Amino acid sequence: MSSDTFSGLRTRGLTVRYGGVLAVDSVDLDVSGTGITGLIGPNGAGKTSLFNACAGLVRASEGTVELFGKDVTRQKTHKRARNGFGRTFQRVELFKTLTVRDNVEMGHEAAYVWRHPYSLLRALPSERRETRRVAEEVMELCQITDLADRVAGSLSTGEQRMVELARVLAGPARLLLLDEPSSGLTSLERGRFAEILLDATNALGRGVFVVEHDMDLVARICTNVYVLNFGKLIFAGSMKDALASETVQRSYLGESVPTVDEAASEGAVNA
Amino acid sequence: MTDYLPMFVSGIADGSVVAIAAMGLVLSYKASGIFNFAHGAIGAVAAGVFYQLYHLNGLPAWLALIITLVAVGLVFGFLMERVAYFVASASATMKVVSTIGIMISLSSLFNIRYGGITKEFPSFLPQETFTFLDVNIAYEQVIVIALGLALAIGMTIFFRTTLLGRGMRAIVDDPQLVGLIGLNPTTVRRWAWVIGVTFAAIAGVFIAPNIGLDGTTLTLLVVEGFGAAAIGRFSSLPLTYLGAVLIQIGVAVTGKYSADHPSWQSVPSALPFAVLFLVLLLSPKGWLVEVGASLQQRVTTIPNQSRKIGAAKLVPMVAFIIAVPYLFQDHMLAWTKGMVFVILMLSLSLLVRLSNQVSLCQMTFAAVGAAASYHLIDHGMPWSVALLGAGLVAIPIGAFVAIPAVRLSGVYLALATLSFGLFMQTFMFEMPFMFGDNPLPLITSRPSFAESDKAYFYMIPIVGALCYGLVRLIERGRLGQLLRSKADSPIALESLGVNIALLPLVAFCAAAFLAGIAGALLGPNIGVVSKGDFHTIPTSLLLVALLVLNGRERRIGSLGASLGAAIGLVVLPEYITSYDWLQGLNLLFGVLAVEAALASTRSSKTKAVPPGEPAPIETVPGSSDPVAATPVGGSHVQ
Repeated sequence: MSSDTFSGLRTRGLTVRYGGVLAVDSVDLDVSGTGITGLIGPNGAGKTSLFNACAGLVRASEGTVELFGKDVTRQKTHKRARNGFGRTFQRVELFKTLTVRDNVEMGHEAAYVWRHPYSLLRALPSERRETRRVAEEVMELCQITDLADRVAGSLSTGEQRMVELARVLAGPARLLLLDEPSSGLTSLERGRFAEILLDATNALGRGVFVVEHDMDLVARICTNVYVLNFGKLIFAGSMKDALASETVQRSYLGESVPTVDEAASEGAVNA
Repeated sequence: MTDYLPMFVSGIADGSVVAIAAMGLVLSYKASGIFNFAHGAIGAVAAGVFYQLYHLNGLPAWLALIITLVAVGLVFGFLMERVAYFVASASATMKVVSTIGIMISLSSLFNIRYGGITKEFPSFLPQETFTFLDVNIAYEQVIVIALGLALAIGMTIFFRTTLLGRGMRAIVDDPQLVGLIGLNPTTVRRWAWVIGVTFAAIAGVFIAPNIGLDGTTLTLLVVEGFGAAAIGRFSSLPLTYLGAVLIQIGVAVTGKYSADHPSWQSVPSALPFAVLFLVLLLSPKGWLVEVGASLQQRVTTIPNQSRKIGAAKLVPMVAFIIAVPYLFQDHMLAWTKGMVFVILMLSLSLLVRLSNQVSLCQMTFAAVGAAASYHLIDHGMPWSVALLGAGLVAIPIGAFVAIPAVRLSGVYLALATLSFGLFMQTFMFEMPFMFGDNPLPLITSRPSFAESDKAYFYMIPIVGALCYGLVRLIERGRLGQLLRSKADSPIALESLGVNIALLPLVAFCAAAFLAGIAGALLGPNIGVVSKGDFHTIPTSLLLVALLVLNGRERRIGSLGASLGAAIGLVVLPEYITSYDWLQGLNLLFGVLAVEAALASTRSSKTKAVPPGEPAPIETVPGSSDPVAATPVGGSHVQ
């Protein structure tokens, strides 16, 4: 165990129960605040429950969640966000009636709300300048500058994913939780998404924790990976080791990668 | 204690009738997801039809009853089913407005036919009494109690055992699945509405002999059933029945008690509304589930607020206001009142248009402001300080109402504000610290710098401009953007670190502040102010309906909508001298409000999806199949 000021997300014995169902079973995570960490596992493995317990949407039955050295287990979603958590959603959650620019700016501006008594009514000039600057920069990184004045609800799913990413990047969040960012994207869009995600997080120095089904994407962007099965962590380590690990193969990877033979035999077992 | 036994009997009897109405309400709500604010008005119409057939046309009571129930049940059942079907995908505000519009229309029709004065309603049930345990019990009461109990048990069995009954419970969650078990969804919904509306009609006819033929009172009595429905979580029929009986026993007992204790005088009439508000206030999270919310889609697209007010709009408006005292000398006071109502409408538009919340108690905030400014001036405060004070005093009231708003949304917030308004009207308005200890109106004074009619008139738009400035500041400022964001996706805003629970609270406080100021301006116009100026039904409801129908065109902005609504509500009626035409005007407003609610699901760019139709591909959750989720929106033409 490293020192108390672990820079990132750390859970100890995190357990989520729904009634009698054990969705997440005593999971220990150490997600670094830099680089991209993946969380994979077959359907029903408890990925989303684990994710939601980290973000505060689901209450942990047992265990602790620590963010950059701070215990946030009992904190509400918005408090955790203030402690450095940012997230996107499996089904894109944009402010659909606002423009793309307004969406991205809100990502930055949210941090100013309630900061001073006047903060609800108006942005201070310095806040305004900073918001504009950050939004422009992030939109540039996510390659959506040309969409800035479009209403977010009118964009395609692929574009909306980019806006959602830009919005969370514009904020102060140091660790981003991305919930199946590739769902609803074409394979072409997935490739572009991976590229932009890598570039943007590198440029801005943010950590990413991503739940993803698409193994190609995970293999491409993640340095470390956690594998979950039946609520239990069955693997934690580098992406390379995960691809080589037999346990991981058996439980999950048979679905898509890596060699044709293995995939075929796994498929037969699963069926 | 024996003195109170008869009160229990009459309480159970009244409770049975209210229970019938409340169960009908719950039934139609469960099957459609539309909470029928017109439920009481339909009961009143049924009483009117029965009165016509039985008293005026001389039909036998049983025949008149059957014709009334069948006719009202079928006509309104079919009508409500259609309305409910089309507004199912509308915003929560529009759902509320649609049935409020129907309520206003029906009340006006009732008043056109029977006038605004209470008529005696002949009793049609046996009046003889018998003595049981030293209590005189009327056969009428026995019949009503038996009827209520029979319907409660019958409906519970019907829901649990029959295919149609179970279909009604399931339909709101998934109309297509109901289709799969061999029932036509439309038929199921239609029968739910027919039964629900018939229950309202039964209640209306059976309660009328006790209170006479009076549209407003009959409507309100059914509104008392809302509290019972809340006790039943808007879902359980047996609990609703029990709630209604308990509440009405409470009303009867406190009524008897208050005969000897004058300070309790207003408790009986306030009790049902207090129960409704308290249930909504205290219900734990997740206890009240909004029926049909899963089908709800936000379909309206608000164009970005224009950054400038625009001289093109402002100059004619200012010129018009300056000209009013010269153009409409004979109706100066009405126009002044109209200007005050613009402020009131602005306060409401802050909630309805920006925050997407409905407040059905805006007149209550105004009443608080009016009373506050009177007492502040009475205690020697300068006029303008009292005006500001009126707004400030209203703020904590707004915050109090907003407590349910933090957790509840849509129809339950509307109900909370309605019950709060009615509670304040029946209870607090009667307190000496509001409108004095006698029924006379309070004498109000104008400020020394605006004694004349003309000067007072010109003062109002100036105050209004300041209020509008505040509204613009909020609309265009950060709060406005936060509220718009929250309306689109609360979960996303929360994930960005904003405490979204406090946003509706702030919006309500601001709205209450403005409404309080408007209330303080109202009295000095004609020199007196009384509690009768601030009725929740119909005035607060009309405010919402008019604002919505005037705000149909988003481009005219909050000022335009407020101005149009205020003129329609306050100024126009001054030019109409006939009672029937006045009611006709309200009828028109009601119909237009319904139309506006229906149109809200049509006019939007994103096509609304009525329940029962296949949903578009985008709304299929979590589809990771790239083919199913091919980008569709990218090529949309603006």
